[in-house]
Amino acid sequence: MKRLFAISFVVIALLAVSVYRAKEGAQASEIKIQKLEQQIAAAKEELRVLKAEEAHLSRPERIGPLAAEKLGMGPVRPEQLKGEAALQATLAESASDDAAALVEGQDAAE
Amino acid sequence: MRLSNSFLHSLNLDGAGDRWAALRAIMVAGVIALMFGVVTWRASVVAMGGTHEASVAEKSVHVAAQRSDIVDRNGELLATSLTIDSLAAAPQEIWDAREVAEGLATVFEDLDVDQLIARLEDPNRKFVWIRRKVSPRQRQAVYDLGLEGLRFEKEVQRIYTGGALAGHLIGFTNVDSQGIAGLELAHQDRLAAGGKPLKLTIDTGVQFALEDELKFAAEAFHVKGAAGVVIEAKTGAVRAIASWPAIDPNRPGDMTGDQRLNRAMGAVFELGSVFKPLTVAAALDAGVLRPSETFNVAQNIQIGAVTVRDRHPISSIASVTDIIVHSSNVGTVKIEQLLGLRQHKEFLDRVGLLSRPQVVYPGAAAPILPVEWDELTGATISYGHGLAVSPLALAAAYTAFANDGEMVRPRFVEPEPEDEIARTRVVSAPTARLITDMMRRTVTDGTGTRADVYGYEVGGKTGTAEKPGPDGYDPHRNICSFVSLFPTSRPEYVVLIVLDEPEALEGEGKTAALNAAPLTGRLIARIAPMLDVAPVLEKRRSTSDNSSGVRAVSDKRAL
Repeated sequence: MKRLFAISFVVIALLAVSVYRAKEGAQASEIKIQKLEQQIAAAKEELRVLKAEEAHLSRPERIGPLAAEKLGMGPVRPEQLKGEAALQATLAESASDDAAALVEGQDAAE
Repeated sequence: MRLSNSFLHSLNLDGAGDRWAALRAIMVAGVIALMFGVVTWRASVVAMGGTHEASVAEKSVHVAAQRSDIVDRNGELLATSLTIDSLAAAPQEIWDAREVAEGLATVFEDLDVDQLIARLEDPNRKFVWIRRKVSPRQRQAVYDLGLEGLRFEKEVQRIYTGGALAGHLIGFTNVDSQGIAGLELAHQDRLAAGGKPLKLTIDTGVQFALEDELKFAAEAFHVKGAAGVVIEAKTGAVRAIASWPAIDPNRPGDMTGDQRLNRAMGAVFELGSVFKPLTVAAALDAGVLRPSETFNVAQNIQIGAVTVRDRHPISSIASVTDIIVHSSNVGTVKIEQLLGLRQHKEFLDRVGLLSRPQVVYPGAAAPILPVEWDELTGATISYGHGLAVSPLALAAAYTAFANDGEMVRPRFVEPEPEDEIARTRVVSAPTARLITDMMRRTVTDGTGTRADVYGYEVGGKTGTAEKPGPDGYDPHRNICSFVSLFPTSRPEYVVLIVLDEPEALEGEGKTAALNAAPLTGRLIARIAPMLDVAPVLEKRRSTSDNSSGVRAVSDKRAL
């Protein structure tokens, strides 16, 4: 009986400790989750700030003059735009010019 | 005690009583020690790590930061919400309100110390806002003061990343992130609910080009105000809409009353001869006018006390196309007389010019209608006087000509895939094409030559209207407008420019042909490539003296 009492006492004590540890573990996990959520929220907020900065820095009012000044760029002129058919014709014309130049070169070599 | 002894006896511990007692003592001591250990450890954790509860500020950030972003049609960010600190106080935690108030006044120089003391000493207050949205530097300065009872609350600040870009359209929020103007107000519930960004039809590049041109017009022609609209004819998507002077929604407190006026939607004007194609279209569609018909427009017309005359009289006989191309008031009135007042009014109603524009935008202005509809008002409205409409309403009416007779409702938010684009037929397709051809002729041979842009077949109509004043129409104050479609062989966009009281360039007049038309040409040259409009590379026409104005204006900007 004495042994039974001792074992019961130990088991109860172990259970109490286990429950306490489980509760502590859950709280620790909760804290960890909260910290992670805070980190995610902070990272998202930082991302929002960076996106806002990117949008502010890339606004046309700023980029336009920079592109014109540093790169010499300007609005596209209609002559600079060609459709697919016109592009094919241009490529074919370019290829025939290259072939003609090659023939001329061979004639000159002979 | 008797029960206790019998209990011990039953356990048969008599023989080993001392040993058991020692064991029990150790166990009890162990348990107590364990409990003390736990209490000590928890106390240490609480002392060093704080509680697990999220602070009020953290909670409020989580809720408030949900307001949706606003983006343009390409996903470019236009408005977003960022968290920022605001300074508050708990009066019950403050012993010396004067010390706190005077300390804070060293950081916030404009702080009213006496008023703050009164608020902090008010026994009924448990919470006092001291300063909303403080800068990081101010926050650090307040921390350095080490005053009691103060705390920083996280709040949301609405940021407009483009500054003044599309300021009138987007609008702004109040300090509590509630939309109070523009689309921020129109879509308050949708934005406040959070979720995916609100995608506008606006194209940032086109919007900037429009605003830039209006700003240029303001400098070149010293206008009192200006407005512009670019609408995609097939869908009604407004790619750009602007009013000058512009507003910066980041600084709503800095706006003047004149700046707040959205001249593109919230104001109405008598727009002048840009109404003539509408009159002709109504007459053609009603079957009272044949395209080949001619009119003698050499003589002025007298209607009651009003004499209708042409600014640039045509010698004698004019075709319907001539009346549009050379903007004949006399010819237009004659056509209106064929049409009749009832059919004229019905047509204007059909194209939405007699009612408030059907757009999701707060403050879209209703037209100012004539008090009485009679022969005179019908005649003057035929050439754009006597009926005041918003620029957006007129541009929307012109989508019918660009869209084979079907008018579309302007929209500022990109449609969902399942949304249908509602089109309303207001004129027949042949009528729409005839009007489009006449508008092209106006640009190639008439009053709109300075709007021509090589490759984009611009069609348009000028409108120069005297502004009404207390003593009648004032010949010195004009509203100049130019409405256009491009490219006319397959119209894709409607563009309208309106200038309020432009002044003349040196040696020139101040009609729409000389200001709004060239401005429209410059704008179309800039935006057509952005809008993926394929150029029509027709044989380049020789540059006439009339079109030199475009170059002259362009040269000033070194474009």
